[in-house]
Amino acid sequence: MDMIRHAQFFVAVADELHFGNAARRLGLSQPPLSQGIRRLEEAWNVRLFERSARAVSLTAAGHELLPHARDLLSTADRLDERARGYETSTVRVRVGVVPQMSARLGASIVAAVAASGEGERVDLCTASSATLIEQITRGQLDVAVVVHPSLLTKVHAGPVNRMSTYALVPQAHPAADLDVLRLRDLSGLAWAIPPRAHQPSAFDLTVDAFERCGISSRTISAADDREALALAASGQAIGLTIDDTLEAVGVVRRSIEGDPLPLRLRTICALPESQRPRTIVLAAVDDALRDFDQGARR
Amino acid sequence: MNGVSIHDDIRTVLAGAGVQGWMHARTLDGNRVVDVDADVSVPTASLYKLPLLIAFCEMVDARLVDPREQVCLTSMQRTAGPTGISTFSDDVVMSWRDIARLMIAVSDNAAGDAILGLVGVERTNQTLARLGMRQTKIIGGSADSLRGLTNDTGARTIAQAFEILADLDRPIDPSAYDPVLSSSTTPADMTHLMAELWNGRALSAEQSLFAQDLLNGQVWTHRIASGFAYDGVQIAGKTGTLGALRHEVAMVELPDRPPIAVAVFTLSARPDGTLPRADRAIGDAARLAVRYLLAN
Repeated sequence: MDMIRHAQFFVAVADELHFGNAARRLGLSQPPLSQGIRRLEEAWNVRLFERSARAVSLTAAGHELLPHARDLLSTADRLDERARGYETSTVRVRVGVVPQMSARLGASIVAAVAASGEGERVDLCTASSATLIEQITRGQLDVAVVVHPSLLTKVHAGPVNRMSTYALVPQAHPAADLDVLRLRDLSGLAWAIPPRAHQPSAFDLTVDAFERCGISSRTISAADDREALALAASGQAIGLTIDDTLEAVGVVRRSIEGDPLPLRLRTICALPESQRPRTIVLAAVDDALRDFDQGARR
Repeated sequence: MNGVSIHDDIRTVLAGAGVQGWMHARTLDGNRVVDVDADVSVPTASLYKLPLLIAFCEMVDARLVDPREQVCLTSMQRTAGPTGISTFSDDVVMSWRDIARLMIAVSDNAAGDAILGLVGVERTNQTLARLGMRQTKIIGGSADSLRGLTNDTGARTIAQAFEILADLDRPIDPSAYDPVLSSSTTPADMTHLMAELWNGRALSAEQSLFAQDLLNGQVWTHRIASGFAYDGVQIAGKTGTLGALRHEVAMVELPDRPPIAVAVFTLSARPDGTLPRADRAIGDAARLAVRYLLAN
């Protein structure tokens, strides 16, 4: 029995609850459809439909078996699609990065991955560390760059890449004009940093750094450079960025003595990490991170 | 807190504090439990002192040791640690039972290793077997653990080993964090031990009271006790701490309510030596579990 064909009959009649309409939908006349349904019912020894003079309805068995028939048809469609697209399908490497990574850094990571030759296409997405870790464990991403420290026990994580940061200081703030800027000079304003929910451990670490320095640890949520820059430009907060070219009217970009608030990034992938393509991609991303930081500090 | 279940609520509390957590809580009869990965093996840190206490009390019951016998603990080769005899400069003469008290009250490493020297690793593991703690193994005491940590980190001193462990830029996976390579246990085994002790099945009546009294005398209030910060609650327990590992096992007794055994183990994402949020999360998780078990 051609199971797929008969499943199509079954689903069409179940959807339409009318043999005539179902037949039309399938491009058939009614008798072959009715016969097909009867053959199916005989093969399965199950009544799928109640037919009265006026109406067609699903039996209890029909109700229960219908989802399985739908599954069969959608699986068949997927196979068909996959097979037809086989010649032109590409190997994609799906990379995730956190929002604090500037556009320039994101681009250089994509370029490094593409140059590594492990995929024809590199898809880049941006999400919080918490989300990226989840997506890596679910197999929705191949490689991600997340903030350290994070809970990384369910993934493989590479070395810590320490990226220098620069304070985005509102021009009117007294610290904007100092020759040497220390962390303790950046008091009196809130800090524009990503929200705690994105990266609880890293957030707490940063807040502890403020507290240990004796300055206010009030924060305003700023997920990325854009938001941080806007808050600094409006005089509401001090931002942090790894981008040494970031500029805006009313904002002074300064390094902080001792680089006390670095952005620590780690490249992660799913366990087990021993698959060769992944290790090559991981190495390419780590190289790109190192190059970016060295370039910025020059 | 509105979670889908008590387990989701507890997981949320622990994840929100930046720790991976494993937890078990149970009524004395074991009919009602809260289980959050409770059968996963985790390194004990100082929790080894808890079954060690039971093994010591067994020796007292068997008249193999006189708990009042005066013992000299010399200052030579004394196990390092932040509390108790470990911090003393000179020789000490004390009774075995007082040494045991310090081992539990302030997690005294020198006291713990002294008791382990008396009891032995083998007898301790026999006690574990007798108690039915099949997922627990003790392979050494505090000195062994600190030596292993120093080797793993390539440090010259213990202090340097802890500095390296706390270094954010050099994440390491020491064997101290590996349950296969160190003394390890599960939250479920630990609450089982506490229930056996409180049910009078682990030791004689006299030694049961003695052991419970020692646990009641633990001084720490920053972990499980922080979840029950009011008068009238009795918390009898033992903490365990090593780098990013922060644990506590305790019997929690609210006024006029049946006791609930709780074991919370955590491993923090941050390597910092001081992490009060992790300590408080242990208290919060314990409070959620105890409240749930008392209500249902």
